[in-house]
Amino acid sequence: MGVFDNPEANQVFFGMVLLVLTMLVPLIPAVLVFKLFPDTKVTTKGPLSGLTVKASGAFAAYLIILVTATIMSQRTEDSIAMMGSPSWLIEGRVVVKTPDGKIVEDESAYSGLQITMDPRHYGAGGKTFWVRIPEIDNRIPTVSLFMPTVGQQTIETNGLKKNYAKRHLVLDQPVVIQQVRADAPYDPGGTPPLVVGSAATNP
Amino acid sequence: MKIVCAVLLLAAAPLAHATDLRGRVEVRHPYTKQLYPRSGVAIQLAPANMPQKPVRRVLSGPDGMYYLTGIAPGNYVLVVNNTRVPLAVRPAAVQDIQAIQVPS
Repeated sequence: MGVFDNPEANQVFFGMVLLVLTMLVPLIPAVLVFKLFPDTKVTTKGPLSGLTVKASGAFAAYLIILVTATIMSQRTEDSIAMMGSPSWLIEGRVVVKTPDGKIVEDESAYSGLQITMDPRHYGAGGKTFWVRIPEIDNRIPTVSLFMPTVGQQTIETNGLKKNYAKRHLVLDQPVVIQQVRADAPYDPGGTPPLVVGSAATNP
Repeated sequence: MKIVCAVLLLAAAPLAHATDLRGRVEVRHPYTKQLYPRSGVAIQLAPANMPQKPVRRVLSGPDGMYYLTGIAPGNYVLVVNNTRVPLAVRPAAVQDIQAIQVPS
């Protein structure tokens, strides 16, 4: 979607279009007010971005409409920011073949497919990590961090503060992984696994 | 002052005896019949007398392991794939839970 193939170029282009429209469109009603009601005294006075502004006539009308348009365009800015980092959906079929090249038709062979990506959409180094998360059905998936033999922690992403311009979810505090107190590997004592119910959605 | 210290100690007592739990989720591949670790399975821990109100919720990791730290000893249920598994948490530093095999 967009004029250019590069998502960042689209972001810049539509950002500039929005800026120009925000500046020019308020001129239309301001000019109409000036033409239709030339004797109407419109004045405005007050702070604007740290400056004290005092205006009258058509210019006052333009300023009032400009401020309103700027406030209303905030949501459009968020949508333009989203153009910089699109996600793509890929759907396909998989075929399993036996060592001698025959296609396996048995459905059970297709159980447990796992998927990874290169480059990965997540990474970790030392005490830092990063994850790129797509929105799915207007929700951001939760992220679980695992440290083998140490512990785990889940990040509830939907409650995090969002920086739309940078497409960042803000983590103000480090994610705490509480270490399990153990000096021996996992050992359930030789008991066989306990088999539980039929496949179901997560509770 | 003594009373304050006593109250604080009493309040902290359950934490002092809290147990860290470790478990693993596995699945038997229906085609090869081999067991392998199952990641992304949701596990809930709830008191045995209130199984519909979980106190913890975790996902199994890439190695099939899951960890529940700081659990007060008592009777609980583990809810995995809508199946409730009774679990008695003992006072210990760590308790390893019997592995759970889920359907493929």
